[in-house]
Amino acid sequence: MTAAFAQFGNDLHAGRRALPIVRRRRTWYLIGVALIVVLGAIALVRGPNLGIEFTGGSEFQIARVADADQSIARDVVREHVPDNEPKITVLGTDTLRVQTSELSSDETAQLASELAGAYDVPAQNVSSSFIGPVWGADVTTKMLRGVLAFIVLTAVVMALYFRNLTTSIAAMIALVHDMLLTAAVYGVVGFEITPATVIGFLTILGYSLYDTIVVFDKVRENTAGLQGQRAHTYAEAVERAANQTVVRSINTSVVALLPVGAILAIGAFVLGAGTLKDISLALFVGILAGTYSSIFLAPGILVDLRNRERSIAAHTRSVQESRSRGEVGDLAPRPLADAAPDQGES
Amino acid sequence: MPARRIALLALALIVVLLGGGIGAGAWKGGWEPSPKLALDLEGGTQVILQASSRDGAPIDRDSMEQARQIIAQRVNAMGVGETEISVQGGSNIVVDVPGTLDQETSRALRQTAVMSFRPVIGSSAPEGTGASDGGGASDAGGASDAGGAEGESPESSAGDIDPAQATFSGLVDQDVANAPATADGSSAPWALEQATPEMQETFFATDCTDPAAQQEIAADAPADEPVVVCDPQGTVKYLLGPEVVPGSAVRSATVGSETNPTGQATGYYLVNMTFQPQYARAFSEMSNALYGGQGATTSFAIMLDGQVISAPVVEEPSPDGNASIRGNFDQETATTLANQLKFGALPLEFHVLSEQQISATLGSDQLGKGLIAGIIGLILVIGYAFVQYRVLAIVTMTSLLAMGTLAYGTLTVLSNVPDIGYRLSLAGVVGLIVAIAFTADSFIVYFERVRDEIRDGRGIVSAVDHGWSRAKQTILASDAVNLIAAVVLYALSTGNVRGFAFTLGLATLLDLLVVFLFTHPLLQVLVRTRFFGKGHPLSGLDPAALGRDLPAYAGRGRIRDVQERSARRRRGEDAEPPVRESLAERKARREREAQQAAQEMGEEPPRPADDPADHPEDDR
Repeated sequence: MTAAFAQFGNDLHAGRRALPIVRRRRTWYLIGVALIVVLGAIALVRGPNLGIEFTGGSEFQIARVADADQSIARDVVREHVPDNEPKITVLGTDTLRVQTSELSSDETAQLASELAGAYDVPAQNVSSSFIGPVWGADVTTKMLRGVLAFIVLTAVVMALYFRNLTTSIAAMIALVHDMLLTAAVYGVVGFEITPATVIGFLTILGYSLYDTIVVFDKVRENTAGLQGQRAHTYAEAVERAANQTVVRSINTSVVALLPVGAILAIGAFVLGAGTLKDISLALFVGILAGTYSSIFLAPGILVDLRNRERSIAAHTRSVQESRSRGEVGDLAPRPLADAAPDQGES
Repeated sequence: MPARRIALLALALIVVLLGGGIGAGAWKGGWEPSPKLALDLEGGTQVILQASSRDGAPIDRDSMEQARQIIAQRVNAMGVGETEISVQGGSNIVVDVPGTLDQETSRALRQTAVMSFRPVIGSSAPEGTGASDGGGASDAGGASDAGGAEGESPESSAGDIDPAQATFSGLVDQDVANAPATADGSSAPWALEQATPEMQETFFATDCTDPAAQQEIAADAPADEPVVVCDPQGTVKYLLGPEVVPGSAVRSATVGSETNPTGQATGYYLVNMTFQPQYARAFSEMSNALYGGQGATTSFAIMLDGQVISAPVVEEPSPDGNASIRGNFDQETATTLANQLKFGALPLEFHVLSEQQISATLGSDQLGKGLIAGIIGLILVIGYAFVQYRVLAIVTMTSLLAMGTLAYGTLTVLSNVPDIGYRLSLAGVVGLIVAIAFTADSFIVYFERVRDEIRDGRGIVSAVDHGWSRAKQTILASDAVNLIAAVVLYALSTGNVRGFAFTLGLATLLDLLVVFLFTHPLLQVLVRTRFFGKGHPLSGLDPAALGRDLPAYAGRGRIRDVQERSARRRRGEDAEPPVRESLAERKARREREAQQAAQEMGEEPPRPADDPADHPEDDR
């Protein structure tokens, strides 16, 4: 299987085989947009599952209970703070989480010790937290500010790095796709939205661009001598570059998904809830979305945007003219496989 | 010495320095040889407060720093040890306390910090030092008339006190009968009548050796009543009259150079303050009265959050509500006072955003599971690297190891340096695990570039150099983006997000260090061995496997042609591993290969005529 994968990589590199990344770009756009719309709609219908950090309230976690019977906790809460129906979940195998509406400091301390007593665990096994209703809003505002600052800064950095504003814009569009898709999938899965989710979400920003930069770097390399030849158009050169980075994109994604998947598995199945699970789900989905967008969306968007540039449009026309006159030997739509002058030095 | 050796040596030096530093720190400075854990892993209480101004005005950095100091004073006052208080994300103050937080401290955290200007009715120095940080107050423009009195001069009320008697200077020095009364019959705020018998009793009963306890009481005292307050050091005790001017009256406070009567700079600094127009008259009246001897003393006090931060003697009345405070300040103390005054202008209210008490049990559970996840992830990554890159994955493995060592060392140093005091949180652990992925990514970018060069027909050694020069750019650009993400997150966020951003940023920097100083030089060294340099089928760099049907450069001037290479591939020993090989077989083969690789790496003869049995075609 690995040999086949290596052969696949060799073929993509040499141009013997090519995924129709740029040629079928509208199909890929459609898939991306459709996924966002459908999943987004489902997520909206379900409504966000906001964690206690966003709704405000008090939370208790009782670790290492011998008997994870939820009714014990419910009785304790009803007895001590009536009119405050708790939300109780079992995390992993031996941890209980009890969420109530906001309690005062005194009530919190008392309830914590009562819960410890009821479940017969030492007092230090009970964690309590009180979260004011504005905490989540505060995190969200900061996140939005962070995302904006990040997009502006990296757009500038990428425009400078590629010495081209359109390239930077294309990368940003792919980035927005990743963010929307991740948010939609998270909503569909229905995990709680917590500040940890926000962390995972923000990390995708860096990752998604990382992937796209690698592809665009190859594009830049392959199109460096574009104006000096008439064998292939800009779109074909981009397609070739995208194909040549497919194997690398798959490899980096798998390598990134492995540790994140490990955290997700441990977080979701062993611990049940909390930082690990929330960060890793957002990351996991985000990495997948980022891989899709860097392979299938970013090159197409780049071509669509840059085809508007006068010099590239002129070049494309001249390539087509010379093909119609039969100057480059054949009229094959992709004369890339053999005559590959961009492959350079050796 | 070639650059690759220098790079490897440099990395070794960094590792040795880190290790040595930690060792020395552990030996001499009581350092822990591991990173300190944050509350969510170690257990403890974290309170996140949001500061907001009463009038909704934006809060600047100086005010937040003042707010942090005020919260720090309150918490230390409650005798809670090892507390960490930091300003995060612009307007949040995060208080980390090991263990649980008692009700009193919890309540103290939520108070609004208020500043007020009150006349000093009397003072004493319980500790017998008589020191006061008070200075003289004079007109902003009138420093030349100031008569040369300094804060520590005999005119200072604090200096008047005979510490042995711990006297109440307002009572001893002033004649009660002389105390003026206002027109409506009630006492002026600065009049000695403010020192009612009850207040005197309170005053004498107050114990300033525990300034904290008194701070609590004083901070709660109503503005229109006298109050007993200590200075922050607990060395001076004050009886203050009712508030004359609120702290919010301060319009500006700036630091200036002090000049003597002839206009020459004294080398000291003073603090100039101006008041809002509507309060200027009240301040002016107080300064006039105190200057004119109508007050119980000639001083007023600036009280902030239940403590007297300055008690200057009035050396000159202030007709226009401008004043300057001096007292042998150096620039730093003057700046501190000016900032405190500015802060007083903007009383901050604190709301508790979240209060989390995490049990140590839960924390250690989470850490354990997090580490297990990390180890599983690491094994999977290395396994995948072996499948994809064969023996080349050794480079990945050792690089990750180097990365891990550096990360551990750096985090340990950062958490042991008191000024930084880094603590590893669960989000930080996740950041590190994710960093495994990102670090491995840069190797993949690099390896794939090298392979591309080989596919393009380059010799392996030259493919590594060319591939590197291309991959380097990509890695730099990608890491720059990740670094921006980390810095933006760190600067704008609070708590968990911040811990994550920190490790992510650190990991990105270490990634650069490792790729440049370890991975690349290591690969350069490796391709000079026969195993990698000739593209052994298991090296991950085999030109034949990479689809090159061109003669490959076999290193050291020899070319292997296609037939030779396919012959190699056909031979049982060197061929691609059969897919259905059993585990034991594979293990044995791996061992054999590793041995062979080690053997080949160890010796580098000019002409590879050795081992003809193993490579008969070499000598053709």
